[in-house]
Amino acid sequence: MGRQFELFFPNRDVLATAELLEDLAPRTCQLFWEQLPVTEETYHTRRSGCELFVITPPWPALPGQENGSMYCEAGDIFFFYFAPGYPDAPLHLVTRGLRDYVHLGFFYGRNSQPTGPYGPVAGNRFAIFRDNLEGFAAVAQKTRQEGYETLIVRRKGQRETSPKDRPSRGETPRATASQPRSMCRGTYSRWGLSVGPRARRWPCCGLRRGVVWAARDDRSAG
Amino acid sequence: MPRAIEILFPRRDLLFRAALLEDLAPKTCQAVESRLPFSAPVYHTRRSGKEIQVVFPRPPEHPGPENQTVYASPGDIFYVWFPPDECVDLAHLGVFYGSHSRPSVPFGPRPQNLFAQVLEEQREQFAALCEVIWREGTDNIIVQPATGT
Repeated sequence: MGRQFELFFPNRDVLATAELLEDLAPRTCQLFWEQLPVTEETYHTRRSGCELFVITPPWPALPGQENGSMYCEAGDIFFFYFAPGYPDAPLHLVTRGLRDYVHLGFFYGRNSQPTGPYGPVAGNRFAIFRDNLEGFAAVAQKTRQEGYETLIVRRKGQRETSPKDRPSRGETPRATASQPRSMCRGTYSRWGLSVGPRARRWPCCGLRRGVVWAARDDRSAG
Repeated sequence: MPRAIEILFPRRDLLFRAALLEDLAPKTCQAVESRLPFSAPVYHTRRSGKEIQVVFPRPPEHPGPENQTVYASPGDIFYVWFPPDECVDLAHLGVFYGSHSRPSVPFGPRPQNLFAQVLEEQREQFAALCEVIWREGTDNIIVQPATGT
């Protein structure tokens, strides 16, 4: 039985458990384990079907291909590394200086395939869900309507996250018409990405600066 | 001047215009226009790539296959409908904002009716907005006939 880790949505109070596939992907598992705990904001996939993912700065060492597959089933957890210039990198991070990054994909449903802009991509399948995949899937579905969530990935029994990984506010505010959620809380500054004046050079130069954009810039400045 | 539709994001005070491809998809254009204006939520797709989906009040008559393709370009707007025995009986408009994307369903790529295109000069702005919807969740939009010039 491999080492176990937890996937926790602090704002939803939903906890799932997963297990490392240490026999199949020992390098990936070890390097992943050394990164924990990780607190990041989630993204829902745009191409791959039922996948929620987080992205993190590139690890100090990368595992290379290991237990690679382009096929997945519900409950699989994949590691991907994307080099600078990857066309599907989130635009709002690219404008803040994002280059290469690690993508951890949590496949919560069937009829899915890891897919990138050029077609299916192989990732390292290194862990699987052991407990409460349903709860995780329900939150993943909700993010499609309500926006991204904060996800804490930590070793099982690792109750306290280190201060730098604690969510910057107690509760992620929900987006409303008058108060959209800021896209740049602690995460990106932790990455060393710019959230100051560069963030204002949003690539949609012609975009009218409505409520959303003005509010976002104010928050990122502060 | 070809006919056009407008896509309005009231919460963000943004307006986009799309030209209808009347020559290529006359029945689809007519079916969509017969339902204007309407207000509906938009979702980001999870299979098709860089696309947002607008829940569409289905017209009484489905226009049938017309100008179908699986190869989408930025700005393309598709009319998407599945026969009730194959999927849920729901129509939506799929608006693509980036390249390397194709209309897909749980069992793979699936051709759809291409009937309109967002104006080229608005596509970059539109793509930036769609990235925000991807991150922050659904929004409500209004689709209406284009007015004025």
